[in-house]
Amino acid sequence: MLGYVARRLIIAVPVWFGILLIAFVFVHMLPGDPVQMLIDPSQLSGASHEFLAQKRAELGLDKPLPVQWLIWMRNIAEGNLGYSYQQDVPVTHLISQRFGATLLLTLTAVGLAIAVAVPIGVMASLKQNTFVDYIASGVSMLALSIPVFFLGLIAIYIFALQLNVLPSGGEHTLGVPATLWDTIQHLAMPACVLAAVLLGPYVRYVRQSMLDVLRQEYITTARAKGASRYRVVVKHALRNALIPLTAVLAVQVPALLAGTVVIETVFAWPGLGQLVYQSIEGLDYPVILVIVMMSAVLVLICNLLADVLAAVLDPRIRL
Amino acid sequence: MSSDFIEPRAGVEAELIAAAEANAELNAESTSRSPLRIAMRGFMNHRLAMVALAFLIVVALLAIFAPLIAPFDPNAVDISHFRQPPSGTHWLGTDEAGRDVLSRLLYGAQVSLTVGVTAALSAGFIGLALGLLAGFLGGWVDATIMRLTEVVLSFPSLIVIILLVAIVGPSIGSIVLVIALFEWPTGCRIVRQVTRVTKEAGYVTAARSVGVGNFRLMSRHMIGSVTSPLTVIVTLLSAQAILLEAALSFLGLGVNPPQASWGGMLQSAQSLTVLSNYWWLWLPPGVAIGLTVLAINFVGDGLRDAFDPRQEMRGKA
Repeated sequence: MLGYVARRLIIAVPVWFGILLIAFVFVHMLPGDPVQMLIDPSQLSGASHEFLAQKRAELGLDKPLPVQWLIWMRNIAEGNLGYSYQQDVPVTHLISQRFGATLLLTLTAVGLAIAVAVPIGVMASLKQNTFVDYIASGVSMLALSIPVFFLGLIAIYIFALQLNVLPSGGEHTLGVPATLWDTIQHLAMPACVLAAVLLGPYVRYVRQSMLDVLRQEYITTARAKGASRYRVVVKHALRNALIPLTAVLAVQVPALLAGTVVIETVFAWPGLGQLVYQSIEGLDYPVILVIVMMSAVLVLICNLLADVLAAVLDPRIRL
Repeated sequence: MSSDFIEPRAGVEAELIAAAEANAELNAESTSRSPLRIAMRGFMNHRLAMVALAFLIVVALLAIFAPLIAPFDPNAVDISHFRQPPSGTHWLGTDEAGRDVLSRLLYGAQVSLTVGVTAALSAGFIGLALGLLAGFLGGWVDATIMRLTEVVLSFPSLIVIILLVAIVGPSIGSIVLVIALFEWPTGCRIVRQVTRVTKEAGYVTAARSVGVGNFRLMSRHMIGSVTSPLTVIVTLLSAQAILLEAALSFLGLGVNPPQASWGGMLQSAQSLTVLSNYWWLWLPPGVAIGLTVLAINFVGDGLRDAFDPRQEMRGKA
């Protein structure tokens, strides 16, 4: 297995370089001049040509693109991820500030979604082609089809504006020391909406893989030797049925961490998604590049992890 | 895939491949029943899918004939009647510029459907071409194309899509282009897998032995087995594309104003005042997107079941 992991990591290197190169080219193709974005528009006409040129040289934007690319790659190799143009702080600082919020939101949502989806999926598979099954697939289909921002708006309308029980956005109440209860209240809506979106595919996944497993002969054997229904379903079937779900999770989580742009916008949640959106609008090249790079690394690692995990959980798979 | 757009059917890839393999076996065993006819009957029996299809046809007709049906010009500004609640003249009220919401909803359908269909077809076409090449030729072509799918799938798609739209400038064309560029790998992987299986089928070997060339083999003999899984994928992708277009418009990166689009109409609801006081501005377009995507997903499901010969066997078992 170690050999397999090493081989995959070696293959991943060119893929990762490709991603970095494409991201670099894309970012520099954005229309507009990042230097001009730094200057207050009302003073732009007054800003002297020399000042702009000086600022450009400071940021290294006066060099030809290939040179900029090489410098950037060297900095990355040395562990220097650069400074944000807009806020003049290290990119790592900005990202670590936002990462916590996104991590909290994502993990809560994934946890909620699994906690709800697994029982529903198992029920649906045990009662295949009955009323329960139809309701379950109807609900998951609905979750797949409603746009996430619309669901968010409905939630805000009901819980924040009509019932007035939850705050409409933000991570905590401004001007008040943060308390756990306050954070939970702010987290509740975005986490539930994100969980609802994740729920659809999870339910279908659990149901399908339970159906596949329940048809296996070892389930019949387990029943025949007199194992209780609970034991057969939970110990024998569910354990195996969850293997594909772990793979889905491993593949999905990095994308989630890279930013749930839409949800964070709807709920004014100060996470990575908002940061990347603001950076694109403000032409903050270093921030965009680092976020894309980070998520590419995460995706590659998680894909590998998914395969290794599958092999560990299921000894029949050989890498 | 970014969180906001999870692969609609994480498991659909494996299912479709298995179905296509079963189809290939069926083809090899008997020629008495046309697979197309079986599929047609399967789909007709799928009541929900039929209802969904009927709904989609109605939506498409409304979109096509929007200029004839719409009671008002969708872009006609009337400041004296802004944010009017629904009434006899304006069935769904008017927006902040006094434009008729119902008319904008009808014209918005044009945008959503156009983007959905063209983006999904383009993605399907790219996937078909690259998948055929990869599966049929194998070797370094296969390896390169597979690395390419990995690169595309490794991008946090919504972020890069936003980046690309910012580069090329928001318009229907650029949204279609960008969605197609990021949604082809699913189709490509399925086509590749099915091609690899079909390549070994007896009739392909027979064609090859009488001297049929590679291009003709691909374009005539492989297409058949690839069509059904690809149809399902393209259907599901169009649902995906409509959701993406709506999200981009919602973020202000969609079609240019004043052109109406469903996602763009929801953008105004980012303000809490609009959200709490003017429900007719955001509820109708949201429901329209949800129902349309739901209908497409049902049709996709019906097609998948119809194309899957194992469904019939399961029914008998």
